[in-house]
Amino acid sequence: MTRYATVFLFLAFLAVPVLARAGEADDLQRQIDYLKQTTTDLERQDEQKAVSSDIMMMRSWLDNGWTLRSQEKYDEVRIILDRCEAQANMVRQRLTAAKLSAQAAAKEDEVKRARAQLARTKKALENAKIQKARLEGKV
Amino acid sequence: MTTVFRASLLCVFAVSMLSLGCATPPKPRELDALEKLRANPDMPAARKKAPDLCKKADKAFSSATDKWQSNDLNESVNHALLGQIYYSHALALSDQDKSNARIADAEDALSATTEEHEKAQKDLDDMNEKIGLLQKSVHKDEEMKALEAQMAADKKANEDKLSQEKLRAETGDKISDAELAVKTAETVNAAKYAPELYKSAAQILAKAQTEMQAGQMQQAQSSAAIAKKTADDAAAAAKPAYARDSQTEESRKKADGLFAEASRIPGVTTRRDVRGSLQRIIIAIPAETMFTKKQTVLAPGRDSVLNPIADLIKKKDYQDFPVQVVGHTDSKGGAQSALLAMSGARAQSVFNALVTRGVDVRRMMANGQGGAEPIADGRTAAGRASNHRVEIVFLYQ
Repeated sequence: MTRYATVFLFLAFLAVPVLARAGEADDLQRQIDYLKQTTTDLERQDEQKAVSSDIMMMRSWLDNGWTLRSQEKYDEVRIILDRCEAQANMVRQRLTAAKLSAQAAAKEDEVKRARAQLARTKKALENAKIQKARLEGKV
Repeated sequence: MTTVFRASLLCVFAVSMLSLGCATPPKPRELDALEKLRANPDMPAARKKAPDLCKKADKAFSSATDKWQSNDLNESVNHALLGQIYYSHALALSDQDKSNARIADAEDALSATTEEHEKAQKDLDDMNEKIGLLQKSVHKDEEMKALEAQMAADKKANEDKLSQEKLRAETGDKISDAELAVKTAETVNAAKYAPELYKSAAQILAKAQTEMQAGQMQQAQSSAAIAKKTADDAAAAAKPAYARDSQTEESRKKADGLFAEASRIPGVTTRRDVRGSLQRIIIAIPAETMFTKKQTVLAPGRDSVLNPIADLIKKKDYQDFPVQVVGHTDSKGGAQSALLAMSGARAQSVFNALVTRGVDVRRMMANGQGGAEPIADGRTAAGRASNHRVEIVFLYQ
């Protein structure tokens, strides 16, 4: 009985690293899939194509990560995934910045139009003053 | 020598190889890009906005540089890429702040502009309202002027119309005058007695009427005046002949009546004759009826025969007839002058008797003809008696 237990423990000791590596591969695959989905989402949000090169680069990194995962170079994959995570965050902020910039541009256009309208109204007011003076001369 | 030389060459080769193996490799592109990113002019703002990210990026930059210098290019690239990401992230956050600031500025500017525009628009509305009132006032003035002009035009039109009506009335009056003149001419039968003038007047009158209907008032007036004058001329020309004819006819009718009445007077003879242009009704009273023989004064009680004769002379219908009282004798019985005197005296007696009976003396004249106008054969006594007479002669044309 003691002998069997010893053998079992020995086998279990041998199996732990193998099982651990298998779990790590699955975990990395999930992260890669998750980040690919994130890339797709970011592409959809990028209506102005402001960050398309960043997203393309991120997609190529993920493809490279997938290859490295297949080669069981998990450390390198982790580095790539950390970078892609940071890239995704950066892209989100750049998308937000682009949207805000567009909003600012729209607001500034609105200001331009309002100023143009104001200029027209002022011009109309000047003309009205002239017309009023002319009419007062007639009465 | 050779051995030493070979050893030296070997040493030089070894040193060269060692130094070559320890030389810094070319800088990775990613590190270059990271350095450029660090030099971005917006980086100070990014550092201020995201200091943690920038610290991480700086650290990544240091690691990338170190790894490059230690020939670990893969690690250098990894760190450089990570550094780029952090810097870009920080710059994005800074850009967001800038955009937010732009939006805030734009909103402020928009708010100010909108406020200013509202004020300007209000001023413009006020001004337009004033202009509207002024335009109404000006329009009213113009309307008043137009109304005055219209009234003046209407007044002028009315005056013209009135003038036209007046002219038409005057023309109508003149045509009426001409028509009256033509009618007057017709009353004197100008068509018969002055046919040329009457026809001309009628034609000119018709022309005047036509001109009036055509609205040619001046010409119509002129034509009417000519028609009137021509008609007057026609009437004037026709009047004497018409009057003469009318009078003759009237006198003839009266004479017929007179003759008939005279014929009914008893004790007298009545006859008619013509002497020159005059016609005569003669009532012959035998002298023996009123006078005794050789006497020239009416015998008393024998002048009653003069009563109906006097009544006849005085009758209104016959007052136009001049009356002659003519005494006649026969041609024998005395000197002619004596007969003439006797006949004149007898005529004067009858004349006086008639005046006594109310006959107007101005209508009568008395004379004696002696035996110059016998009416019967003087060789017989009856004839001579008939020739002794006093005649009451009514004259007419």
